[in-house]
Order: sequence, then structure tokens, then C-alpha cells
Amino acid sequence: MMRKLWCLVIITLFATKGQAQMGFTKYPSEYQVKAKFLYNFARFVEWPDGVFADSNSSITIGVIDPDPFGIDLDKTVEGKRINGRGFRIRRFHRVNELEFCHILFIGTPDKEYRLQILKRLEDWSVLTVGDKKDFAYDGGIINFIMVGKKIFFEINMKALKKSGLVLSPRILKMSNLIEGD
Amino acid sequence: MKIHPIQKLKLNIKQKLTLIIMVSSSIALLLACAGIIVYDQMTYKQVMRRKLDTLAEIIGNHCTAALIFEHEKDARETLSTLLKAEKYIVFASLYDKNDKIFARYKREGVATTTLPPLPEEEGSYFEKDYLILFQEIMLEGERIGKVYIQSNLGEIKARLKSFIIIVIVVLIISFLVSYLMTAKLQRIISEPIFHLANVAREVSLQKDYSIRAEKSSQDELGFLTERFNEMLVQIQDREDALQKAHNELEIRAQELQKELTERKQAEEELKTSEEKYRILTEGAPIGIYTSDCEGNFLYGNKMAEEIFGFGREELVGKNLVNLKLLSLSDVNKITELLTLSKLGKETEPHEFTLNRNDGSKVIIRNHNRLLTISGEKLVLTMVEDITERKRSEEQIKASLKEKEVLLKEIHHRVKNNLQVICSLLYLQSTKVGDKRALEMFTESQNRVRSMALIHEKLYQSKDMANIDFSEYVQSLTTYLFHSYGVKTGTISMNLSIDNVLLGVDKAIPCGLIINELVSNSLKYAFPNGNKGEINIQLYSDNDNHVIMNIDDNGVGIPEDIDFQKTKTLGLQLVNILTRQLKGTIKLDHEEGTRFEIVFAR
Repeated sequence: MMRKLWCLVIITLFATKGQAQMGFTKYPSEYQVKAKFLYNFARFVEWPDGVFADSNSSITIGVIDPDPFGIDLDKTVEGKRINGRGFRIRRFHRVNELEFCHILFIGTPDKEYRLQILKRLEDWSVLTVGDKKDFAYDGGIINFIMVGKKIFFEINMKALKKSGLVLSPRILKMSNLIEGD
Repeated sequence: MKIHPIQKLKLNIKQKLTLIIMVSSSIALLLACAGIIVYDQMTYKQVMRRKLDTLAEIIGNHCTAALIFEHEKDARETLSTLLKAEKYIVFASLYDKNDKIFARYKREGVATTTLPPLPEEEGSYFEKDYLILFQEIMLEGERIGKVYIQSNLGEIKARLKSFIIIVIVVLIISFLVSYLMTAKLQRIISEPIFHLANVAREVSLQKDYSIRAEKSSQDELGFLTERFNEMLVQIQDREDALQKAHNELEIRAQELQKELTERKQAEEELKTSEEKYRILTEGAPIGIYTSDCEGNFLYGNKMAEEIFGFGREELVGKNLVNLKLLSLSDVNKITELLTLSKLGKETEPHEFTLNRNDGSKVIIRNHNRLLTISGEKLVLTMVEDITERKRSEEQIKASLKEKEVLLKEIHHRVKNNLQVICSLLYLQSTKVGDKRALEMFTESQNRVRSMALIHEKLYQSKDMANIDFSEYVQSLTTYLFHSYGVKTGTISMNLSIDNVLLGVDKAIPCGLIINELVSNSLKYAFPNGNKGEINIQLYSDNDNHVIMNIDDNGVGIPEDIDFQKTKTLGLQLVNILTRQLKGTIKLDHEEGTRFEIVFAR
């Protein structure tokens, strides 16, 4: 009886807490989710040796125009650390401005531009993430696909292999694996 | 001592030992098994928790990506894949970081419509038949979700079941082993006891205390055996002593029996003798009574009662003095006698006159004697009614007096008559001229005279039977001197007559003998007026013989005369009279004449 009563109290407590949080944050927007995913990919990726200057070096997340995240991405990674590493956001506006970053979001719907960017990144071990149709087929590694309101992944295994990155099978398991160029 | 229920069972020590060992070892084993089971269950619960923890961790680990990337399907598949192998997990669910249900798993075939519970705080607990676990899923210090696992206790139950089976098997096996071992090993204890019991039984059956138990161990049983043997020794000793005592007792009992019989006999005899003496006392023709030293009656026999004229009850406790039966002088006398008796002095019987209450008078003769019976002094008195005797005594005395008077009269008359004869002879002699004849007359006169003198002395004597012989001889010799005209100064007479009393039958012959012999002496011993003396001696010797010597210092009897064959009347008379006296006569004529006549009195 006491136990049941306790359960009830706890349940009520959590219920109100959850509601309060939900009321405060509302439902996250699509890019808020994508920003979160972007940063979370860092957990499931192994970069080859030499991509970090030292063990404390930050993980650089780059966004090449067009930038759909705005301040949300910065907010998402603010204060976050994965494997002891902090995050740095870099924004690029042109292809020739591109420098090495660990994760690069390519949000352009322009296929040519996309290919240019990818070409530019060819020799670097950069986890390329996009959210436009055929991104993965074009040589990007991970592509966000919307099915209803849910976000799924397409992963270009060839591109992945080429980049020298290792993706956790847990990601692979829940993704559509494609054999693009 | 409290009796244990086991003691009440009708089992021998072997069975009891086996039972005790079996029961205790089984209980101990059972307890140990129960302990192990309980411990195992407890431990296994911990193990289960840990397992579940690990499982939850694995789930969390495998679902991080799904949670992070909000891939519910993947989460579901992961849950299903991971939990399918765990057949006790009946339910599991995954919550996102907002505690929203994210994925769930329900074991197939488990009939439950339970919705996944609302998430609770991290931890695990047992509820009913389930183990419930909530665990946070963390990633880089960030809470990304929560896992809930509900496991049934099938595993633990199965474990319990298999454990119980093992316990039962172990119990059965150990029971059997224990039984076999106990059956073998209990002999160590039971056999010495059996042996002891057997010995004890044998001892009690055969009553043979010389049997001994063998000591087989150094423990308490060995000690017991030793003490048992010691006890047997003691019992044997005691038995012997008892037997001895018993024998002695038997002998004593026999002695006692004998003694008792003897005593009974003695008592019987005593009773008989008592009865006899009672009858004797009661039936005695003489009064017997006892009194204390103060003269109070204690007992009196029938005769005593008759004499005193009182019943026994009236007499007992009374004092003779106070019965007013006696005159004052008699009372004084009787008191005096009593006092003497009290001092233990012998008293002579005394006569008293009793004035009895019925007015009659009796003369009694009382004889006291002090007796001591059982340390108590009392006076036994014999009392005799002598009234009758006294009366007849008086009569006898009277008649005796009469007879005495008569006898005196007779003696007097005889003397007088003899005196008359004497006088007649004298008168006659005056007419006789012949000297010889005259002499004969004179002699005859003297003889009669001597006889008359006896009668005179007899009637003068006290008892009329005996005379005082010296007086008689004096009178006789004086008469003879006078008769024969002896001149004074010529012949002297010496008399030495002891006071011998002689009866008439002896006195008359004696008197006649003296008369003859003195007459002879006077006539012949001193012729021509010679001087001389005549001695008469009479005495009695110790043999009751009377010796009579008559001698003179005269001329003596001629030698040729045999006095026993003489023809003279005088000597003839002497011989005849001596014979009449049944005595002897001896003549001695050394100096004068000496006759000795000896006769029995």
C-alpha cells in the first residue's frame, strides 16, 4: 500500500516535471533536431589519426552556406563535450574558403555546388552531412531523410570508406546504406 | 530428572542412539541445507539484480544511438534482440530523456495487458513475483533515457526447485550413509552398555555377585563399568555380611525361641508354682498375713480372715492396732514386736487374745518374721487360732495335776504301808531272841525301809517319777548308821553323789544295792569298833552310763569268796538287782572292799 502510494507520488512528480519542460521548450524545430544530431554524430565517428592536434583539441563542426541552423547549432553545442573534446563552429561561405573541419554540413540544394564542395573535401577525413535529395548518392556520407516528421539517415558506404572514417555500427544499423559514387 | 519423550519410547539403547543420531544429523543437515538455500536465494537475488543491471546497461549501450537519433524501430529491434534470449524477462521498456515511452518489449506468450509503468527513479526491487528495475541511460554524463526491465522469478524458482531436489537427494544419501555409519559406530557406545546391562541382568537373575563386567573403554562407560564392578564387590561384601548377620540372627532367633520357650515354661512353672503357693497359702490351716513395717495389712489368707473375723477388703490397708481387737497391753506388746521385727531381730511367737467384733474371744499365736521382697521390707506373720489347744492344754494340765496328786497319794500310801511293814517287823523282832534271826529281821527291816524311803523321796519330788538320788542316799545311809548303831567318830561316811535323776525302776534296785553293800560294810568291814570310812560315789559318764562306786577301807571280803556265787542273801540280792539294772558289777579288794556297778540310765 505504502509502496503504491510512493509510486503514485513519484509518477505525479515526473509527470508535472515533464509537462513543465515541454511547456518551456515546445517541440524542437527540424533544424534544432538536425543540429543536435549533427553534434551527436561525433559520438559515433572515429577519425583517423592526425586529425586532432592533441587530445584536447576541439571537434570542429563546419557549415557551408546556406546555413539553416543559425544560432541553434551554436546553442546546441554550447558547453557540450564528447570524449573530453569541446566543439567549435565554423561557417564557410565559399568553396575556396573551406578549411578542415571534422563534421561539415552541406545544405545546398545545388547539385553542382555540392559536388564542388565534396570534391574540395576529397582528401580530408571529413564527415559530410547533408539534407537534400541525392546528397548521399552524390558522394556525401550521411544524408538526413524526412519520413513524415521523423528523420532517418542515408549513408554512402563508399564515401565513408573513402573518407577513412569509421562509423559506429549502431548508426549503420538504423540507417539506409547505399552504395553511391 | 525430566523425562525426554524419547525415553518413553519402547526402544533399546541401540535404537535410541540410532534414532537420536539420525534425527539430529538429519535436522542439522536440513538446517544447513535450508541455510544454504536461503543464502543462495538471497545471493541469487543479488546476482539477478546485477544481471539485470548488466542487462539494462547493455540495453542502454545498444540503444544510445537509437535514443539519440530518436530511432524507435531500432530501439524496439534492439530490445527484442537482446531480451529474446533472456526468457525470464517478461517486460521491458525504454524511455527517452523526457521520460516519454520510447520503445517496449513484451515477451511472447506472456499474458499481460499491463501498460509500461511510468518511469521511476533508478533502482531495482522485488515486487510480488517480479524483479523490477529502472536504470538511467547516460551518455557522456548526460541523461539520455531510461530503461525498465521486469523479470519474473522463474529463474530463482527454478533454482530453488533444483536446489530442493539436490537437498532431498543429499538428505536421502546422507541419511542412508549416516544410518549405516551410526549402525556401525553406535556399537562403541551401545555395546558396553549392552554388556553392562547383560551383566546386570545375569547378576540379578542368578543372584551371583561374583560376575564382573569387562571394561572396554576409558570414557564414562569405562568409569561406569568400574564403578559397577566396585558396586558388585560392595554388594557381595554386604551380601556376605548380610548372610552372616542373617545366620547369626537365625541362631539368635533360635536361641530366642528356645529362651522364649524356656521362659514360657518357666512362666508356666512360675504360674503353676504361684498357683501352688497361692493354693498353699490360701489353703494353709494357719493364718498368714503380711503387713508393712507400720503394721498396716497388705495381704491376708483365708484363715487369717477367719481368725480376725474381717473380710479381706476390710483388712487390707488397716492397722491391727487400730482394729480395736486387742487389749492395751497386747497392743503395746504387738507394737514392740513389730519394732523388733523392723530392726531385723528375730522374735518369738506370742499369744494374744482377740476380742472379735461378734463378741467371741480367740487366743492367737502370732509369729513375726521380717522379709525383703524386691527390696521392700515387709513383715510376714503366722497367726494361729490356739483357743482350742489352749483349752485342751488347760484340761491336760488339770488332769495331770489330778494324776500327780493321785500318784503322790499312792507313793505316800506305799511308803506308809512299807513303814507299817517295817514297824511290824520291828515289833516282831523284839520277840526274837535268836541273834541270827534278829539280824535277819533287822536286815529285812532295812530293806523295806530303803524301799519306803524311795517312795517318800518320790512323793516329795516334783515330778513323781525321778528322785534326787543324793538326798536319798544321805537319808538311807543316815538311817543305816542309826540302824546298825554305829558310834559317832568311828566310821565316817563320804558321799559324792552327782545330781543324777533316776526313775523308780532304777532307783529302787540302786537303793537296795546301796542298802546291802553299806550294811555289809557296817557289819563286817570294821570289826571290833575299828575306825574307817565308807565312800559312795555316783556319777554319770558321757555315754549316759551311771557309775556307782561303793567302797570301804575295812578288812575286806575274804579272798576265797566268789561274791557272785555266794549263798549270802545280801550279795545274791546285789547280783540279782545288778542284772535287773542290766548293768555290770566289779569287785576290787586291793584295799578294803570296792564295788563298781555300771548301768545304763
